[in-house]
Amino acid sequence: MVEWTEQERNIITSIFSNLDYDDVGPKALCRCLIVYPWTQRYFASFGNLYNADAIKTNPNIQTHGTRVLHGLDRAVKNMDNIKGTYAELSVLHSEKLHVDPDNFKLLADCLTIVIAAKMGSGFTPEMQATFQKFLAVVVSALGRQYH
Amino acid sequence: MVKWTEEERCIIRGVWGKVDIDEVGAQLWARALIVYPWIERYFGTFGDTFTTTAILNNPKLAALGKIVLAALDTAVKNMDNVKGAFASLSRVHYEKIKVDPEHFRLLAECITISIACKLKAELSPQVLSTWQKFLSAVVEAMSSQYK
Repeated sequence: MVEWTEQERNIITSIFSNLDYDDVGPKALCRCLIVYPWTQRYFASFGNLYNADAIKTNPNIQTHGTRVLHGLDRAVKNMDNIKGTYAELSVLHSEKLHVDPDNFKLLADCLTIVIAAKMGSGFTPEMQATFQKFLAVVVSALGRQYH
Repeated sequence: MVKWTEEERCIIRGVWGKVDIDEVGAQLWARALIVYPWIERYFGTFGDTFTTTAILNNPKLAALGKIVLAALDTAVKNMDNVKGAFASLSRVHYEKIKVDPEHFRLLAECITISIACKLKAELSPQVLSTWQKFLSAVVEAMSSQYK
């Protein structure tokens, strides 16, 4: 089971409490779709994704990006049992959405870049290390129910 | 061989032009060692790299960071033949320093995060996409002499 120090918990809750989920979520998802275009195939029903501007202004992407961040919020509030918290979500992504679990890491990387760009020099190496540890646990939990 | 459009060349030079080698170089290895502590094993001769404070204040790490970015400058100036430009550097890292090529990718990530902290919104998804293409070419060139 993942162990968290008091400092790591504080870093994670502090990063998330300063985030506007409606802003950061869509930005991370857009970035993922633009930088790793093959991920667009999961969003075929979302309408126009043919270029960066279309992606950035697509209302379905906006909504979904916000939803992803609220999903992460659940992990922040249940850091000692992210695996359990995400069990159903993992089943959904495996059996219904058929998402390649490698792609969870890509979205996680994009979120890290968005946070870094937002926090600037405030995103110290220690904060990056803790944030990436948190995202690694999330990614692992999401891939857990795949078989 | 990697092909670059005129737009991509401009983007890469644009990003690189905004990077202060002294500023980013000094912090680069600190970020890498704190986020990926296992790479400490390459730095046995660098003195104290055992605590965050020591890492952040280690002059040898700061100097090496600037050397790495100076090499990246060579890649920016030789985009059409990064592999050739880095052939002997790759050989040294393989034969003499014995670096796991996966670690080139980790350092590249840290470079991107440092740049994201500095450039913030200027590192748009499209710019990031091009920058990561460039760094992939560099990582590949660094791995090219490995057997």
